[in-house]
Amino acid sequence: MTHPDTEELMDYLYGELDVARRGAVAEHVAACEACKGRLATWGGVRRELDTWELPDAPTRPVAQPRAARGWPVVRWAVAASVLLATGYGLARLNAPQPSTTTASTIDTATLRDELKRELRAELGRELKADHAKFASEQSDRQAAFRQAVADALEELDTRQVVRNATLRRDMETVALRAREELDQLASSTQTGNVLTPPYQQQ
Amino acid sequence: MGWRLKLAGRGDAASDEDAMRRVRANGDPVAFAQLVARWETPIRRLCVRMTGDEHRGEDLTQEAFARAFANRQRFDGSGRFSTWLWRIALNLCYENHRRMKLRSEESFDARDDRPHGLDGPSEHAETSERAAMVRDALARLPELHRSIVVLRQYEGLKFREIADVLGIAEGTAKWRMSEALDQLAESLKPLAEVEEPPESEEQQPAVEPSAPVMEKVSVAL
Repeated sequence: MTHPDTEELMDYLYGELDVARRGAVAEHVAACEACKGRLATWGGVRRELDTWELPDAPTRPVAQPRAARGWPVVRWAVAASVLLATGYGLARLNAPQPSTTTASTIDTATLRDELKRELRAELGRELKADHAKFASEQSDRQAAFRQAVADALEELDTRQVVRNATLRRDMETVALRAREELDQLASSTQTGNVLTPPYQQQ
Repeated sequence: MGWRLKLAGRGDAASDEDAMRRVRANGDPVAFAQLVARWETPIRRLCVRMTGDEHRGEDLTQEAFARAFANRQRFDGSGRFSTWLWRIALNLCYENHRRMKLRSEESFDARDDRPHGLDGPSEHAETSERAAMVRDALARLPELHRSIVVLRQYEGLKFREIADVLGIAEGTAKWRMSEALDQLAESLKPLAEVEEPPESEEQQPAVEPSAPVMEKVSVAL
């Protein structure tokens, strides 16, 4: 039998050959040092390649203090949606003194509106800073995308009103941190420490 | 987060196209968020491996989805959404590579042999030395070859789909893959020398370890 060509050997290596051809190639390889050698080399490379593993989670997780870099947009929007979920989170954090109101007495709808306004304002500030410095087609796309995803996540969240008290407590903690991040974001854009789009880093 | 868990997971191809239909029809952000949740991780893995840089890869991932949403009308639904998205992400990686190359060429102390677009070793304390060697070896591949390796070896795309993504013939994809593996064998030689005997591959009889055949294959740039 003649040598399988390179393309067929590659199919064989990656298990993309049909059963009929696979048997024939395997038979040839068993008896052919050259082809056996090529496959062994490639197999070795594949194993080496697999040693470069990546974590499943990104380096910048959702609600943890970040290094001095721009927020990934989706993470930021997720954090914002958590604030929405807690409903009373905004009121509590804004209260100058410990609030005596409980979650059940707070008008969730009003709070959502307040937070939505603040969210949009925050987005606006961030986007304004971006636009001012990097007026470009790509910035507009980023802006459209941010708004779209923020809307989407908000809508998704609206569909799942959280009633579970324990879960609400956990989300309150996350919301607290997200709130800190938003404040940091606001102050960093205001002081002109503009978030740098990835492709124009200094 | 309940909603995130529900949306995670690849799902089947048909639902991607359904979602995109809604995105195209009225910019449906909920449908788009589903696509983001489903494809963010694989796209990020691609961008990190193409650039060799975790942060850059994450930024390019964001940009890929932004571009996909902005260009949603250009997805006509004739092919798979994932094919289209891989292509968008790869184009961004290519653009990034060109920018890095230009920057390093302009830089006063640019060195030709340094792989472009990589952080110094100190940036990624967690990256093992072995993984760093793999990363550097991949960075030395021409972009087309690197793309094929990342898609085939790390993301498990069939050669047929890789050919669709890259707009090349299927045979070409396989041939370039062999060139890439040969070049990587050369680059990774120091690692191979301390290797354990290979286990048998799936769908393949156990291959006895033999002296690697080092073919000098000229890799088209």
